[in-house]
Amino acid sequence: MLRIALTKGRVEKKFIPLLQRCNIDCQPLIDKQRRLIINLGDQYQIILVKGEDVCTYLRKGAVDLGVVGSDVLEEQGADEQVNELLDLNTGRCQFIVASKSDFDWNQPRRKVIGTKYPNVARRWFASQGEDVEIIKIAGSVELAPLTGLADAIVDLTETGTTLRVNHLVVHDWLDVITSRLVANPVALKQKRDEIFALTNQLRQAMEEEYDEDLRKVTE
Amino acid sequence: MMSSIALPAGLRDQFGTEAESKDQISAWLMKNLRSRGYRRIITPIVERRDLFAEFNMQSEQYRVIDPAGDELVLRPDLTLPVARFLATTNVKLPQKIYYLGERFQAAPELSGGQSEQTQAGIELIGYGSLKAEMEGVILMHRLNRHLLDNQLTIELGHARLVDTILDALELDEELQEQLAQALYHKNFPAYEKLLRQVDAPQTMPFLRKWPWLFGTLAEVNDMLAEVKVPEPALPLLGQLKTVAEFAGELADQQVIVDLSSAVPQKYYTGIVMKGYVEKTTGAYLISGGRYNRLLANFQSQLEPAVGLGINIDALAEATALKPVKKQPVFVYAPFELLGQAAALVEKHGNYSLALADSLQEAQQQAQTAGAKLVALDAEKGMKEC
Repeated sequence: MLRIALTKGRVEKKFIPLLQRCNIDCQPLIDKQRRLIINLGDQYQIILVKGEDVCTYLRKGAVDLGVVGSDVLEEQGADEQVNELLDLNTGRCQFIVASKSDFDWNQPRRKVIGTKYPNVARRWFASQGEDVEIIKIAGSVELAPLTGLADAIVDLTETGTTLRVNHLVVHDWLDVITSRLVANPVALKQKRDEIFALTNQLRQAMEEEYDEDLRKVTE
Repeated sequence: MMSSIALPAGLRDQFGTEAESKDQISAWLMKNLRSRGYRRIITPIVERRDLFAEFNMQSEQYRVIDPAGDELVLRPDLTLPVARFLATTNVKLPQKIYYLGERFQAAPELSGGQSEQTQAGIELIGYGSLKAEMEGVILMHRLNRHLLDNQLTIELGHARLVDTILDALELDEELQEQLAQALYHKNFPAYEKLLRQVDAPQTMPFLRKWPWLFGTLAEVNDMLAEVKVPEPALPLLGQLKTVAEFAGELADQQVIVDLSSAVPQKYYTGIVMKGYVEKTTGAYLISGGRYNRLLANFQSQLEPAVGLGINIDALAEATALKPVKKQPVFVYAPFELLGQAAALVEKHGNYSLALADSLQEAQQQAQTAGAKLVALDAEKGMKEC
């Protein structure tokens, strides 16, 4: 049986249709109520966790596979500890740097950046040759520039609506974020055939979905 | 008060069965190696920081200041101290060396990882033949049979395979490094994306398949039958197949090969070996390989070598073998009969003095310890209680 740590919420919702396309009965997952460990037949066991915890479960060998946003992988620098098998191309959004429209990016002082992603922010500003002060914020990052807590933010945006409503403008676009299928390196070796079978099924499901979307657009 | 004496994060005490299991495995392994002509080495737990400077330790080191104010580290690796010893003394080579000791690599904060690990291992220094790799395989197989109920998988790779194939493509340095990292970490989407920048039509069928090229030797051979392996990689692949075929012939031994196996340390130059069982998927039980250039950092003469590190903590967790011991027997005696009690204790390996002052207390202590109690009485002689 493959044990899969699935990120609760948005990632989970977008992953279920892909599993269904692979002819995996997801009803127990849809009807899960408050259960956190759900068996899908005798082939898969889904463990619902927060995105930040997926790699912890994987690293310790508590699960074989994980489904997690690439934002979490980037922030945790997890690429050395887990194997990335497939870009599921769901939950698409993008890292941005944003500030109030009147913020002067050229002023010669150390800027203050509010973010949920301190490592991503630090790496990006370092790549721009700029040393910044980072404040880690747990939620509603948009508030930071509005209240004077920070000069700008590094955050994720899907449509940009929240930024517009809060009168923030995008200063730069960083990496595009999607959900990824990741594996524990030892599990990949030991359960190679099962894992590749699921990866190939998911890949095919994604292609079918893409073809269907394309048909809808052209019709 | 409690917080001032509590253990630092990432460290733990080991007590009872957990510690005894490690003792038992270590004692068996040490005896096994000693009787096969290996020589024991014990190196200090602290070393100069520079010894480890050029090598890729996966995590932070523990730093220690000596009385002179020099910065030392708790050794994060046990091979480098052996290399230092050989480079700075006149030990005649070749040598088959074994060690057992603690190694420290700070686990990331709040990760649940352990910073201290008991590691045993061998170093076969001065042996250039593939037979040294085979000796490593034999040791892994022996551990598998004796301790792991034939559940150990041996994974074999080659440290130079990735660089050799990529070097021949004459790529931009940055692209080559990114491709190597994507291969080692089996990052399939990143690898496929990077491959779009590679212009090598002849090698492309192999390159497309490369990250998937792991499994049993038969499986990998089947996959390789459909593609042409780049010429410069053939001798390395030949070595890998020779060792894998040898390992595959050992009874009940599971063996897989991986053509882009991650290299545990930068100093590896040849066959890389890893061992794991399903129930400890988080950690390799055994890891090692050939490192022919390691000593070059400390002395002018290159020496071929193969080493294998064995994670005793993970092995103790995975082993089917539990510590066997005879039930202890406590001997209770009044002070005037302690001479007789001592004679009994000397005679039987599992006898010891009951340290209580009353028979009732001795009975309680024996019960708690899972021991049998015998009492000596001036009139009734010895009786079991």
